[in-house]
Amino acid sequence: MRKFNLFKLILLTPVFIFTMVSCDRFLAHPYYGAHQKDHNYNPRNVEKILKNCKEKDTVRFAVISDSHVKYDFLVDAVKDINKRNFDFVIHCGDGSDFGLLRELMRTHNIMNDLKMPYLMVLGNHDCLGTGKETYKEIYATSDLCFDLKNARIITVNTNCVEYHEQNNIPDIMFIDGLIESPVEKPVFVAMHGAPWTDSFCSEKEVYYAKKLRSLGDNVICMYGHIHEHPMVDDYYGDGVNYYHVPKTAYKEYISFTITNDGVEYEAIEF
Amino acid sequence: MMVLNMKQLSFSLALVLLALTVNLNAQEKTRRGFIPDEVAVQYAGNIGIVSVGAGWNYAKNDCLGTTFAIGYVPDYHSYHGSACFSIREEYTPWKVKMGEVAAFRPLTVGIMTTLITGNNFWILEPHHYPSNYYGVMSKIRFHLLLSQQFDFFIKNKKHDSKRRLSFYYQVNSYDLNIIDSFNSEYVKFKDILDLAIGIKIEI
Repeated sequence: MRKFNLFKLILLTPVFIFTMVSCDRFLAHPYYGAHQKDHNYNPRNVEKILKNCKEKDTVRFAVISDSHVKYDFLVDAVKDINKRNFDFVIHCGDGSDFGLLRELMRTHNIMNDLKMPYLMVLGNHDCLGTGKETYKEIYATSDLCFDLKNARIITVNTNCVEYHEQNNIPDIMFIDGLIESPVEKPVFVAMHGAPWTDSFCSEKEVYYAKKLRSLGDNVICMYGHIHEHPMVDDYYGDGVNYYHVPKTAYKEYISFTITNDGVEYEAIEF
Repeated sequence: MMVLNMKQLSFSLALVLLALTVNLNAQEKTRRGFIPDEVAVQYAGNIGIVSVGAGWNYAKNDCLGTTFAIGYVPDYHSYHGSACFSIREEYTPWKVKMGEVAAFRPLTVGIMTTLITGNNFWILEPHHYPSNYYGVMSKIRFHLLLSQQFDFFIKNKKHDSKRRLSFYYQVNSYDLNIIDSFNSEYVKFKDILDLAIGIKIEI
Protein backbone atom coordinates (compact mmCIF):
# COMPACT_ATOMS: atom_id res chain seq x y z
CA MET A 1 0.00 0.00 0.00
CA ARG A 2 2.81 2.33 0.98
CA LYS A 3 4.65 1.53 -2.18
CA PHE A 4 1.57 2.32 -4.24
CA ASN A 5 1.24 5.75 -2.63
CA LEU A 6 4.88 6.52 -3.25
CA PHE A 7 4.49 5.44 -6.84
CA LYS A 8 1.42 7.65 -7.24
CA LEU A 9 3.36 10.55 -5.77
CA ILE A 10 6.19 10.02 -8.20
CA LEU A 11 3.69 9.81 -11.06
CA LEU A 12 2.20 13.12 -10.00
CA THR A 13 5.49 15.00 -9.94
CA PRO A 14 5.36 15.83 -13.67
CA VAL A 15 2.00 17.49 -13.03
CA PHE A 16 3.52 19.66 -10.29
CA ILE A 17 6.53 20.50 -12.41
CA PHE A 18 4.47 21.47 -15.41
CA THR A 19 2.25 23.81 -13.39
CA MET A 20 5.27 26.12 -13.23
CA VAL A 21 5.96 25.76 -16.92
CA SER A 22 6.08 28.86 -18.98
CA CYS A 23 7.97 29.52 -22.17
CA ASP A 24 10.70 31.47 -20.39
CA ARG A 25 11.81 28.31 -18.57
CA PHE A 26 12.87 26.67 -21.83
CA LEU A 27 16.19 28.42 -22.30
CA ALA A 28 18.70 27.80 -25.07
CA HIS A 29 21.56 28.85 -22.82
CA PRO A 30 22.01 30.79 -19.55
CA TYR A 31 23.30 33.74 -21.61
CA TYR A 32 20.76 33.57 -24.42
CA GLY A 33 18.26 36.43 -24.10
CA ALA A 34 16.41 36.88 -27.39
CA HIS A 35 12.63 37.21 -27.74
CA GLN A 36 11.91 39.04 -24.49
CA LYS A 37 8.42 40.41 -23.83
CA ASP A 38 9.71 43.88 -22.93
CA HIS A 39 11.35 45.70 -25.83
CA ASN A 40 12.66 49.20 -26.28
CA TYR A 41 12.27 49.85 -22.58
CA ASN A 42 14.51 52.92 -22.12
CA PRO A 43 13.11 54.98 -25.03
CA ARG A 44 9.55 54.12 -23.96
CA ASN A 45 10.29 55.26 -20.42
CA VAL A 46 11.81 58.51 -21.69
CA GLU A 47 8.48 59.18 -23.39
CA LYS A 48 6.67 58.45 -20.12
CA ILE A 49 9.00 60.78 -18.18
CA LEU A 50 8.53 63.56 -20.74
CA LYS A 51 4.76 63.12 -20.60
CA ASN A 52 4.73 63.43 -16.80
CA CYS A 53 7.45 66.02 -16.17
CA LYS A 54 8.16 68.10 -19.26
CA GLU A 55 6.49 71.26 -17.99
CA LYS A 56 6.97 70.66 -14.25
CA ASP A 57 8.84 73.33 -12.30
CA THR A 58 10.10 70.87 -9.72
CA VAL A 59 11.34 67.43 -10.74
CA ARG A 60 12.79 64.92 -8.30
CA PHE A 61 14.64 61.80 -9.30
CA ALA A 62 16.53 59.02 -7.53
CA VAL A 63 19.74 57.37 -8.73
CA ILE A 64 20.71 53.85 -7.69
CA SER A 65 23.52 51.62 -8.91
CA ASP A 66 25.32 48.27 -8.70
CA SER A 67 22.48 46.13 -7.44
CA HIS A 68 24.07 42.87 -8.59
CA VAL A 69 24.43 39.75 -6.44
CA LYS A 70 22.34 40.98 -3.49
CA TYR A 71 18.90 41.39 -4.98
CA ASP A 72 17.18 41.80 -1.58
CA PHE A 73 18.74 45.26 -1.19
CA LEU A 74 17.36 46.29 -4.56
CA VAL A 75 13.90 45.15 -3.42
CA ASP A 76 14.31 47.32 -0.28
CA ALA A 77 15.55 50.28 -2.34
CA VAL A 78 12.52 50.03 -4.64
CA LYS A 79 10.19 49.93 -1.63
CA ASP A 80 11.88 53.02 -0.16
CA ILE A 81 11.77 54.92 -3.46
CA ASN A 82 8.07 54.11 -3.84
CA LYS A 83 7.41 55.70 -0.43
CA ARG A 84 8.97 58.99 -1.53
CA ASN A 85 7.77 61.34 -4.18
CA PHE A 86 10.11 60.80 -7.13
CA ASP A 87 9.27 61.47 -10.77
CA PHE A 88 11.69 58.90 -12.20
CA VAL A 89 14.63 56.70 -11.29
CA ILE A 90 17.99 56.10 -12.99
CA HIS A 91 19.84 52.82 -12.42
CA CYS A 92 23.54 53.45 -13.13
CA GLY A 93 24.20 49.90 -14.29
CA ASP A 94 25.43 46.51 -13.07
CA GLY A 95 22.00 45.05 -12.48
CA SER A 96 23.49 41.65 -13.28
CA ASP A 97 26.68 39.98 -12.14
CA PHE A 98 27.65 38.02 -15.26
CA GLY A 99 25.27 39.28 -17.96
CA LEU A 100 23.06 36.20 -17.59
CA LEU A 101 19.49 36.51 -18.82
CA ARG A 102 18.07 35.41 -15.45
CA GLU A 103 20.11 38.11 -13.63
CA LEU A 104 19.13 40.90 -16.01
CA MET A 105 15.47 39.84 -15.83
CA ARG A 106 15.55 39.68 -12.02
CA THR A 107 16.71 43.29 -11.81
CA HIS A 108 14.19 44.27 -14.49
CA ASN A 109 11.31 42.58 -12.65
CA ILE A 110 12.24 44.18 -9.31
CA MET A 111 12.62 47.62 -10.93
CA ASN A 112 9.23 47.16 -12.59
CA ASP A 113 7.66 47.38 -9.13
CA LEU A 114 8.57 51.07 -9.11
CA LYS A 115 5.57 53.37 -9.33
CA MET A 116 7.54 55.70 -11.59
CA PRO A 117 9.43 55.00 -14.85
CA TYR A 118 13.09 54.05 -14.66
CA LEU A 119 16.06 54.19 -17.01
CA MET A 120 18.68 51.48 -17.01
CA VAL A 121 22.27 52.36 -17.86
CA LEU A 122 24.54 49.56 -19.12
CA GLY A 123 27.16 48.47 -16.59
CA ASN A 124 30.37 46.54 -17.24
CA HIS A 125 29.04 43.38 -15.56
CA ASP A 126 25.91 43.55 -17.74
CA CYS A 127 28.15 43.28 -20.82
CA LEU A 128 29.60 39.85 -20.04
CA GLY A 129 28.78 36.91 -22.33
CA THR A 130 25.87 38.03 -24.46
CA GLY A 131 24.68 40.51 -21.81
CA LYS A 132 25.16 43.43 -24.23
CA GLU A 133 22.74 41.82 -26.67
CA THR A 134 20.23 40.93 -23.96
CA TYR A 135 20.43 44.50 -22.64
CA LYS A 136 19.81 45.76 -26.19
CA GLU A 137 16.86 43.38 -26.51
CA ILE A 138 15.18 44.73 -23.36
CA TYR A 139 16.34 48.35 -23.00
CA ALA A 140 17.34 49.16 -26.62
CA THR A 141 20.06 51.70 -25.80
CA SER A 142 22.01 53.33 -23.01
CA ASP A 143 22.67 56.57 -24.92
CA LEU A 144 19.67 58.77 -24.17
CA CYS A 145 19.03 62.48 -23.92
CA PHE A 146 15.89 64.40 -23.05
CA ASP A 147 15.09 67.93 -21.97
CA LEU A 148 12.95 68.81 -18.99
CA LYS A 149 11.90 72.36 -18.19
CA ASN A 150 14.82 73.00 -15.83
CA ALA A 151 17.35 70.34 -16.78
CA ARG A 152 18.74 68.14 -19.50
CA ILE A 153 19.13 64.46 -18.60
CA ILE A 154 21.67 62.32 -20.45
CA THR A 155 22.58 58.67 -19.94
CA VAL A 156 25.66 57.22 -21.64
CA ASN A 157 27.36 53.88 -22.09
CA THR A 158 30.94 54.29 -20.84
CA ASN A 159 31.96 50.61 -20.70
CA CYS A 160 34.88 51.26 -22.99
CA VAL A 161 36.88 48.19 -21.90
CA GLU A 162 33.99 45.84 -22.73
CA TYR A 163 33.84 47.25 -26.28
CA HIS A 164 37.60 47.41 -26.83
CA GLU A 165 37.36 45.42 -30.10
CA GLN A 166 34.68 47.60 -31.67
CA ASN A 167 36.32 50.76 -30.28
CA ASN A 168 33.01 52.65 -30.60
CA ILE A 169 32.22 53.19 -26.92
CA PRO A 170 31.81 55.79 -25.52
CA ASP A 171 29.83 57.07 -28.49
CA ILE A 172 31.64 60.33 -29.29
CA MET A 173 29.22 61.12 -32.15
CA PHE A 174 26.33 61.06 -29.68
CA ILE A 175 28.15 63.39 -27.26
CA ASP A 176 29.28 65.68 -30.12
CA GLY A 177 25.67 65.97 -31.26
CA LEU A 178 24.72 67.15 -27.78
CA ILE A 179 27.64 69.58 -27.59
CA GLU A 180 26.38 71.20 -30.78
CA SER A 181 23.09 72.04 -29.07
CA PRO A 182 24.20 73.30 -25.63
CA VAL A 183 21.72 74.39 -22.97
CA GLU A 184 21.98 76.88 -20.13
CA LYS A 185 20.08 74.70 -17.67
CA PRO A 186 21.88 72.02 -15.59
CA VAL A 187 22.97 68.94 -17.55
CA PHE A 188 22.85 65.62 -15.69
CA VAL A 189 24.96 62.80 -17.13
CA ALA A 190 24.41 59.28 -15.77
CA MET A 191 27.09 56.70 -16.54
CA HIS A 192 28.34 53.47 -15.05
CA GLY A 193 32.08 54.04 -14.81
CA ALA A 194 33.51 57.55 -14.58
CA PRO A 195 36.34 58.37 -17.06
CA TRP A 196 39.11 57.63 -14.52
CA THR A 197 37.75 54.23 -13.43
CA ASP A 198 39.00 50.85 -14.69
CA SER A 199 35.96 50.21 -16.91
CA PHE A 200 37.00 53.19 -19.05
CA CYS A 201 39.92 53.14 -21.50
CA SER A 202 42.68 55.29 -20.03
CA GLU A 203 43.75 56.65 -23.45
CA LYS A 204 40.33 58.23 -23.95
CA GLU A 205 39.92 59.51 -20.39
CA VAL A 206 41.00 63.16 -20.69
CA TYR A 207 39.48 63.56 -24.15
CA TYR A 208 36.10 62.29 -22.94
CA ALA A 209 36.20 64.31 -19.69
CA LYS A 210 36.69 67.44 -21.83
CA LYS A 211 33.71 66.44 -23.97
CA LEU A 212 31.58 66.04 -20.83
CA ARG A 213 32.70 69.49 -19.69
CA SER A 214 31.52 70.96 -23.00
CA LEU A 215 27.97 69.69 -22.56
CA GLY A 216 26.86 72.85 -20.75
CA ASP A 217 27.64 75.47 -18.12
CA ASN A 218 26.55 73.33 -15.20
CA VAL A 219 27.34 69.66 -15.82
CA ILE A 220 26.57 67.14 -13.09
CA CYS A 221 27.86 63.60 -13.61
CA MET A 222 26.59 60.54 -11.75
CA TYR A 223 28.53 57.27 -11.76
CA GLY A 224 28.53 53.92 -9.98
CA HIS A 225 30.99 51.05 -10.46
CA ILE A 226 33.49 51.68 -7.64
CA HIS A 227 31.22 50.52 -4.77
CA GLU A 228 31.90 53.34 -2.36
CA HIS A 229 29.61 55.41 -0.15
CA PRO A 230 28.13 58.58 -1.66
CA MET A 231 30.73 61.25 -2.44
CA VAL A 232 31.08 64.33 -4.58
CA ASP A 233 34.29 65.30 -6.32
CA ASP A 234 35.34 67.85 -8.92
CA TYR A 235 37.82 65.24 -10.17
CA TYR A 236 39.38 67.20 -13.03
CA GLY A 237 39.05 70.64 -11.39
CA ASP A 238 37.04 71.83 -14.40
CA GLY A 239 33.84 72.61 -12.55
CA VAL A 240 32.13 69.29 -13.37
CA ASN A 241 31.01 67.61 -10.17
CA TYR A 242 31.08 63.81 -10.20
CA TYR A 243 28.53 62.32 -7.78
CA HIS A 244 29.20 58.72 -6.84
CA VAL A 245 26.12 56.50 -6.60
CA PRO A 246 26.65 53.83 -3.93
CA LYS A 247 25.81 50.16 -4.49
CA THR A 248 22.39 49.20 -3.14
CA ALA A 249 24.00 46.73 -0.69
CA TYR A 250 25.14 49.80 1.31
CA LYS A 251 21.42 50.61 1.71
CA GLU A 252 22.03 54.02 0.22
CA TYR A 253 21.11 55.90 -2.91
CA ILE A 254 21.20 59.51 -4.03
CA SER A 255 18.57 61.90 -5.30
CA PHE A 256 18.39 65.26 -7.05
CA THR A 257 15.64 67.85 -6.89
CA ILE A 258 15.57 70.26 -9.81
CA THR A 259 13.70 73.53 -9.27
CA ASN A 260 13.59 76.94 -10.95
CA ASP A 261 16.20 78.07 -8.40
CA GLY A 262 18.72 75.29 -8.92
CA VAL A 263 19.62 71.74 -7.97
CA GLU A 264 19.50 70.06 -4.58
CA TYR A 265 21.45 66.87 -3.86
CA GLU A 266 20.58 64.39 -1.15
CA ALA A 267 22.12 61.07 -0.09
CA ILE A 268 19.38 58.82 1.28
CA GLU A 269 19.74 55.82 3.58
CA PHE A 270 17.03 53.18 3.71
CA MET B 1 33.89 33.68 -40.03
CA MET B 2 35.47 31.63 -37.29
CA VAL B 3 32.12 31.33 -35.53
CA LEU B 4 30.54 30.09 -38.74
CA ASN B 5 33.27 27.49 -39.08
CA MET B 6 32.65 26.37 -35.52
CA LYS B 7 28.95 26.00 -36.30
CA GLN B 8 29.67 24.00 -39.43
CA LEU B 9 32.14 21.83 -37.57
CA SER B 10 29.73 21.05 -34.75
CA PHE B 11 26.87 20.21 -37.07
CA SER B 12 29.01 17.99 -39.24
CA LEU B 13 30.11 16.23 -36.04
CA ALA B 14 26.47 15.74 -35.09
CA LEU B 15 25.71 14.38 -38.56
CA VAL B 16 28.64 11.96 -38.39
CA LEU B 17 27.34 10.71 -35.03
CA LEU B 18 23.89 10.18 -36.51
CA ALA B 19 25.27 8.51 -39.65
CA LEU B 20 27.38 6.19 -37.51
CA THR B 21 24.38 5.04 -35.60
CA VAL B 22 21.39 5.09 -37.88
CA ASN B 23 22.06 1.88 -39.85
CA LEU B 24 23.05 -0.31 -36.96
CA ASN B 25 20.97 -3.28 -35.88
CA ALA B 26 20.47 -4.00 -32.23
CA GLN B 27 23.53 -6.01 -31.38
CA GLU B 28 24.95 -7.39 -28.22
CA LYS B 29 26.42 -4.75 -26.02
CA THR B 30 29.83 -6.36 -25.72
CA ARG B 31 30.31 -6.10 -29.47
CA ARG B 32 29.32 -2.46 -29.68
CA GLY B 33 32.47 -0.90 -28.28
CA PHE B 34 32.27 2.87 -28.40
CA ILE B 35 29.21 2.95 -30.63
CA PRO B 36 26.49 4.83 -28.69
CA ASP B 37 23.44 3.03 -27.30
CA GLU B 38 21.06 5.85 -28.00
CA VAL B 39 20.57 9.13 -29.80
CA ALA B 40 19.01 11.98 -27.82
CA VAL B 41 17.35 15.03 -29.32
CA GLN B 42 16.53 17.75 -26.81
CA TYR B 43 14.72 21.06 -26.86
CA ALA B 44 16.16 23.82 -24.62
CA GLY B 45 17.70 22.99 -21.24
CA ASN B 46 20.63 25.44 -21.38
CA ILE B 47 22.57 23.36 -23.95
CA GLY B 48 21.23 24.99 -27.12
CA ILE B 49 17.76 25.62 -28.43
CA VAL B 50 17.95 22.20 -30.09
CA SER B 51 20.67 19.68 -29.36
CA VAL B 52 21.59 16.28 -30.72
CA GLY B 53 23.48 13.85 -28.53
CA ALA B 54 24.85 10.35 -28.33
CA GLY B 55 24.33 8.35 -25.14
CA TRP B 56 26.08 5.35 -23.60
CA ASN B 57 24.42 3.28 -20.85
CA TYR B 58 26.34 1.00 -18.53
CA ALA B 59 26.71 -0.50 -15.04
CA LYS B 60 24.10 -2.77 -13.43
CA ASN B 61 20.72 -2.48 -15.19
CA ASP B 62 22.14 0.36 -17.24
CA CYS B 63 21.69 2.63 -14.23
CA LEU B 64 24.46 4.98 -15.33
CA GLY B 65 24.41 6.96 -18.55
CA THR B 66 26.75 9.37 -20.25
CA THR B 67 25.49 11.65 -22.99
CA PHE B 68 27.55 13.90 -25.20
CA ALA B 69 25.50 16.53 -27.02
CA ILE B 70 25.99 19.42 -29.41
CA GLY B 71 23.42 22.18 -29.40
CA TYR B 72 22.83 25.35 -31.34
CA VAL B 73 22.52 28.71 -29.60
CA PRO B 74 20.85 31.05 -32.14
CA ASP B 75 22.02 34.53 -33.06
CA TYR B 76 20.38 37.77 -31.95
CA HIS B 77 21.40 41.41 -32.37
CA SER B 78 25.19 41.54 -32.72
CA TYR B 79 25.70 37.99 -31.37
CA HIS B 80 26.40 35.57 -34.21
CA GLY B 81 25.18 32.41 -32.53
CA SER B 82 27.37 29.48 -31.54
CA ALA B 83 27.54 25.82 -30.67
CA CYS B 84 27.21 24.49 -27.16
CA PHE B 85 28.96 21.22 -26.27
CA SER B 86 27.71 19.38 -23.24
CA ILE B 87 28.53 16.19 -21.43
CA ARG B 88 26.20 14.82 -18.78
CA GLU B 89 26.45 11.91 -16.39
CA GLU B 90 23.16 10.55 -15.08
CA TYR B 91 22.14 7.97 -12.51
CA THR B 92 18.78 6.17 -12.62
CA PRO B 93 18.14 4.15 -9.45
CA TRP B 94 14.68 2.80 -10.35
CA LYS B 95 12.86 1.54 -13.39
CA VAL B 96 9.16 0.72 -13.05
CA LYS B 97 8.01 -1.76 -15.71
CA MET B 98 4.55 -1.26 -17.12
CA GLY B 99 3.96 -4.52 -18.95
CA GLU B 100 5.91 -5.50 -22.03
CA VAL B 101 5.53 -2.26 -23.88
CA ALA B 102 6.40 0.52 -21.46
CA ALA B 103 8.47 1.52 -18.45
CA PHE B 104 8.77 4.56 -16.28
CA ARG B 105 11.93 5.97 -14.72
CA PRO B 106 10.62 8.05 -11.81
CA LEU B 107 13.89 9.76 -11.02
CA THR B 108 17.15 10.40 -12.77
CA VAL B 109 19.76 12.64 -11.18
CA GLY B 110 22.77 13.98 -12.96
CA ILE B 111 25.53 16.50 -13.37
CA MET B 112 26.43 18.28 -16.56
CA THR B 113 29.21 20.47 -17.88
CA THR B 114 28.61 22.74 -20.85
CA LEU B 115 31.01 24.67 -23.04
CA ILE B 116 29.82 27.39 -25.38
CA THR B 117 31.95 28.42 -28.37
CA GLY B 118 32.48 31.96 -29.60
CA ASN B 119 34.47 35.06 -28.81
CA ASN B 120 31.89 36.45 -26.36
CA PHE B 121 32.92 33.88 -23.76
CA TRP B 122 36.20 33.04 -22.08
CA ILE B 123 37.86 30.50 -19.82
CA LEU B 124 40.81 32.69 -18.91
CA GLU B 125 40.03 36.39 -18.71
CA PRO B 126 41.22 38.27 -21.81
CA HIS B 127 44.27 40.51 -21.48
CA HIS B 128 42.38 43.78 -21.60
CA TYR B 129 41.01 43.21 -18.09
CA PRO B 130 43.03 43.82 -14.93
CA SER B 131 44.09 40.46 -13.46
CA ASN B 132 41.28 38.41 -11.87
CA TYR B 133 38.79 41.18 -12.62
CA TYR B 134 35.61 39.11 -12.79
CA GLY B 135 36.91 35.86 -11.37
CA VAL B 136 34.42 33.57 -13.13
CA MET B 137 34.79 31.93 -16.54
CA SER B 138 31.83 32.47 -18.81
CA LYS B 139 32.55 29.69 -21.31
CA ILE B 140 31.95 26.72 -19.01
CA ARG B 141 28.93 26.18 -16.75
CA PHE B 142 28.20 23.35 -14.32
CA HIS B 143 24.65 22.09 -14.00
CA LEU B 144 22.60 19.84 -11.74
CA LEU B 145 19.91 17.76 -13.41
CA LEU B 146 16.71 15.99 -12.39
CA SER B 147 14.60 14.18 -14.92
CA GLN B 148 11.80 11.68 -15.43
CA GLN B 149 11.56 9.38 -18.40
CA PHE B 150 8.90 7.28 -20.09
CA ASP B 151 10.13 4.31 -22.14
CA PHE B 152 8.20 2.58 -24.91
CA PHE B 153 9.46 -0.64 -26.46
CA ILE B 154 8.84 -1.05 -30.16
CA LYS B 155 9.11 -4.55 -31.60
CA ASN B 156 10.99 -5.09 -34.80
CA LYS B 157 9.56 -8.31 -36.32
CA LYS B 158 12.18 -8.54 -39.05
CA HIS B 159 15.08 -8.78 -36.63
CA ASP B 160 13.10 -10.18 -33.71
CA SER B 161 14.36 -7.39 -31.49
CA LYS B 162 13.04 -4.51 -29.41
CA ARG B 163 14.01 -0.89 -29.57
CA ARG B 164 13.40 1.62 -26.86
CA LEU B 165 11.87 5.00 -27.59
CA SER B 166 11.97 7.33 -24.58
CA PHE B 167 10.42 10.68 -23.80
CA TYR B 168 11.88 12.70 -20.99
CA TYR B 169 11.72 16.05 -19.39
CA GLN B 170 14.50 17.56 -17.37
CA VAL B 171 14.73 20.21 -14.68
CA ASN B 172 18.14 21.82 -14.49
CA SER B 173 19.95 24.56 -12.68
CA TYR B 174 23.50 25.84 -12.93
CA ASP B 175 26.25 27.09 -10.65
CA LEU B 176 25.72 30.87 -10.86
CA ASN B 177 21.95 30.54 -10.50
CA ILE B 178 22.28 28.31 -7.42
CA ILE B 179 24.76 30.78 -5.85
CA ASP B 180 22.27 33.61 -6.52
CA SER B 181 19.58 31.73 -4.61
CA PHE B 182 21.89 31.54 -1.59
CA ASN B 183 22.78 35.23 -1.84
CA SER B 184 19.25 36.60 -2.00
CA GLU B 185 15.95 35.60 -0.44
CA TYR B 186 14.29 37.22 -3.42
CA VAL B 187 15.57 34.38 -5.61
CA LYS B 188 13.21 31.51 -4.76
CA PHE B 189 13.90 27.86 -5.48
CA LYS B 190 11.50 27.79 -8.42
CA ASP B 191 13.23 30.82 -9.96
CA ILE B 192 16.46 28.95 -10.57
CA LEU B 193 14.95 26.01 -12.45
CA ASP B 194 15.03 25.63 -16.22
CA LEU B 195 13.23 23.00 -18.22
CA ALA B 196 13.96 20.81 -21.21
CA ILE B 197 12.09 18.10 -23.08
CA GLY B 198 13.61 15.43 -25.25
CA ILE B 199 13.43 12.12 -27.04
CA LYS B 200 15.91 9.24 -26.88
CA ILE B 201 16.00 6.51 -29.49
CA GLU B 202 17.82 3.25 -28.85
CA ILE B 203 19.96 2.24 -31.76
